Amino acid sequence: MSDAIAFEAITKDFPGVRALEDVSFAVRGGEIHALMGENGAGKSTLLRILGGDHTPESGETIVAGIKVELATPHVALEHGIRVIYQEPNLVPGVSVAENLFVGRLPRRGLILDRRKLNAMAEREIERLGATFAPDDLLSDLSTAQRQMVEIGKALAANARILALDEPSSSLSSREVDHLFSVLRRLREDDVAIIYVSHRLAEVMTLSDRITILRDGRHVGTVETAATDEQALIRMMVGRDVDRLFAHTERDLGTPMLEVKGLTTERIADVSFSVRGAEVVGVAGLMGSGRSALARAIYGLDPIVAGSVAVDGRELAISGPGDAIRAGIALCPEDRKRDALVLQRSVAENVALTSQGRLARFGYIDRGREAELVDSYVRDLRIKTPDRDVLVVNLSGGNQQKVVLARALAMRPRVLILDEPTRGIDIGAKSEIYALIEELAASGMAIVLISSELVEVIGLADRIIVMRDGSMTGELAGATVTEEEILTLAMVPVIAPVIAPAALDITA
Amino acid sequence: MSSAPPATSRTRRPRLQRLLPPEQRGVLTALIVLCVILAIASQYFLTPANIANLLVGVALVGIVAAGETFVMLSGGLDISVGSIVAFSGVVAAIVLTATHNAGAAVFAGVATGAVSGILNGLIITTLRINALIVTLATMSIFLGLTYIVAGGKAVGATDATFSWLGNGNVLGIPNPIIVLVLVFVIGHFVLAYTTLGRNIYAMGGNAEAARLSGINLTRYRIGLYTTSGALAGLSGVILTARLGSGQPIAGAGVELTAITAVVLGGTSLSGGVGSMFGTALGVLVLGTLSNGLILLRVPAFYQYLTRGAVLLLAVGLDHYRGRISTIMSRRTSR
Repeated sequence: MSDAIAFEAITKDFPGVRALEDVSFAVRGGEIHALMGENGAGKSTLLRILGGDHTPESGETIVAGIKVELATPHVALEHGIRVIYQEPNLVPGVSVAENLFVGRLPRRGLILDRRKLNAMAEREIERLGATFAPDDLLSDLSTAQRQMVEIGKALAANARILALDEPSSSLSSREVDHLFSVLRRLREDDVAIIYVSHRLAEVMTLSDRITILRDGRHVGTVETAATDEQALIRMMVGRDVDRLFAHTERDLGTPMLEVKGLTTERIADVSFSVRGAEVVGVAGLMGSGRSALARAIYGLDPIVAGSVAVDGRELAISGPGDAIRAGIALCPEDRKRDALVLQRSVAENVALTSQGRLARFGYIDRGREAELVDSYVRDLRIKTPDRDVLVVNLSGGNQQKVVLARALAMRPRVLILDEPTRGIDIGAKSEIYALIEELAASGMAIVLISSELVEVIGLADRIIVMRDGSMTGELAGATVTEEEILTLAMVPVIAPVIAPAALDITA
Repeated sequence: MSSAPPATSRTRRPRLQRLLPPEQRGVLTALIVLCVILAIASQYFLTPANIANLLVGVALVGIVAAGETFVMLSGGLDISVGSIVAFSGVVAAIVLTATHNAGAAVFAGVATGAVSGILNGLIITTLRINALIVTLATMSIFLGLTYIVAGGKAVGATDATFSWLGNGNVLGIPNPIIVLVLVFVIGHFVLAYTTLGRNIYAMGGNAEAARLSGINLTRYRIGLYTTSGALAGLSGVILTARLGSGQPIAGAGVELTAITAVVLGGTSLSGGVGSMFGTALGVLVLGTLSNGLILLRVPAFYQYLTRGAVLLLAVGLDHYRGRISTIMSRRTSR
């Protein structure tokens, strides 16, 4: 097997941050090569260099033995390189077929040859083993199906090098299985596959070799068969992460958050309470109403019926401002969409909801602001050169910490965390877990929404399970098993005919 | 992550970058180049009289541009400001004629602008229509109202006190320049040092994040369009005072010149990036340009041409700066 793509001494700088330093490794044809590392390790930057989206400061990229300057995405495509980023790169308003062959649509004279296009698309879809049709509108497809279209697009362009950035992060386990079988088939066809993932288990089953980056540097490339998860974690973090969850006994306080019969357009009759120093987990499949519950409490969705009380006082919540004043803080699920102002500094982002406290007659006391921000940068170990760096230049894990810092800076009584560790590496995860424990111990009431069951079980004192907008059960802490949660989260298998469709959790 | 990343040692942002964000380097370069060329080409250019002349010339557009900066930073756009300038100017003239009270005229003019702005804000927030479309419509509506109240012709405004506003001076500094500087100083202060400013940047950078942080977007939007309208009104009042009459055609094209200045100053069309200082630079470039062309006796028609060219050059320079610096650093690293 020869090297399909080799990186040699790649270095890349961003304003204020060196993203990659002297990184060299190679990927063979017919190999699934996993790329791992914590957030900020440089994985995404490397993919962007491969895709011609970023130009390195120095170093070389060698495609099939020939030195190539991947100056633009177009050049990368011409060399058979296809990078599938986390953000989909598809046209939602047109058909699958047109998406597959965009830029190379077959024509008869000036007119699109739709019959030929659909036939071509049919072949690609078959190759993928996908279930959609060529003339399905892309916007009607699920996330998983769209990902298949992305891969199909790469194959239709005869990609010899395929790189995927966290492709499994929004897929169900069944969809992940399908993705894997497609990738394995591509491996048979001698395609070189670079697979970026945080999920150790996935990487262990799928990949042939694993390259680990840490702080922008190449730590090592290992044969998957010759390593184990512990060794990988050590390489990624640079130290042992022996126990992720250190559950401590806490004395629960009085009920801090009480939700009674809460009903909105998306949830129905949800009741639960959280005591001081308690962590209540909310589990459920995607679209089960987990996040809608958070939105309702935080005043983002109009409340149709029911009540929310903090510290025994019922609230009239008509917007986030009311929730904030009542001492409720929310860390939303999608940090880039809902939380961060990327083009502003770390300081401004952290202080955004606490400005009132830092200002007199609207004039911000910069000294006090700096003190506040620096204390959170220190406590949460936000990796940033200084507080004036734009948030856009931070890695995902550190961005998430900025969101957390903003919520904590409000000194909330109730903290709602919606997927606090999504897309975050294991090192940052363990830090956030420890932080949640610490905050609870300080008497805060915490609602933890997560699709990672291990996390919910490991951290929560009690777990609420949701399905189709309703609560289906409440389970008590440490003894809960994943099976118990899943049983409550999924549609009971009474009507086997409709069950599989309903399980297709892509809403 | 206790181990410090190896990169942080070389990552301190230079002071220059703090004082002058990258999006403003193009416009500053343009201003310096223009000034150097003009200082060489015309001995008259750097005289105090000419500089005062230059600044009075841009005062009206500058005040409007300051208001536009607020709106554009928040992610909005207001193209009705030209019509508001005319509307407010005419209303001020009418009130002056009726009351012979300069104070009442100024108040009426600014209030007309503010009310027009409130209207813009209310329509945008309640009907949730794109700001460009709303202000495109109100641009026409306000101009129509201007002609209607003016009866289709200029309205005289000849009052000594009122006229002093536009033509007088304090300690030798012409009044329009004083107003211009005040507006920019206050605008800069608000944007850079207050919670209000922070929230404007936040809503322009990410409206959803701002909303989730408890910022009342509706109230802010209405407030910002009102500010923009009031400043356009102020500009209209000063214009009327200078001309000695309120003229319905007075505001034609002001909105585009103001937006040109704002964009030239590095403010992003999508909001969230830019500053009042940048807009000031943008205004100065436009003013210097027209002043210089007059000094060099270039026919006025060429102003439009050069204005467009400078906009493309300054913005283009910023766009390619990234590429250039990459190439330079690559060269030095080898």
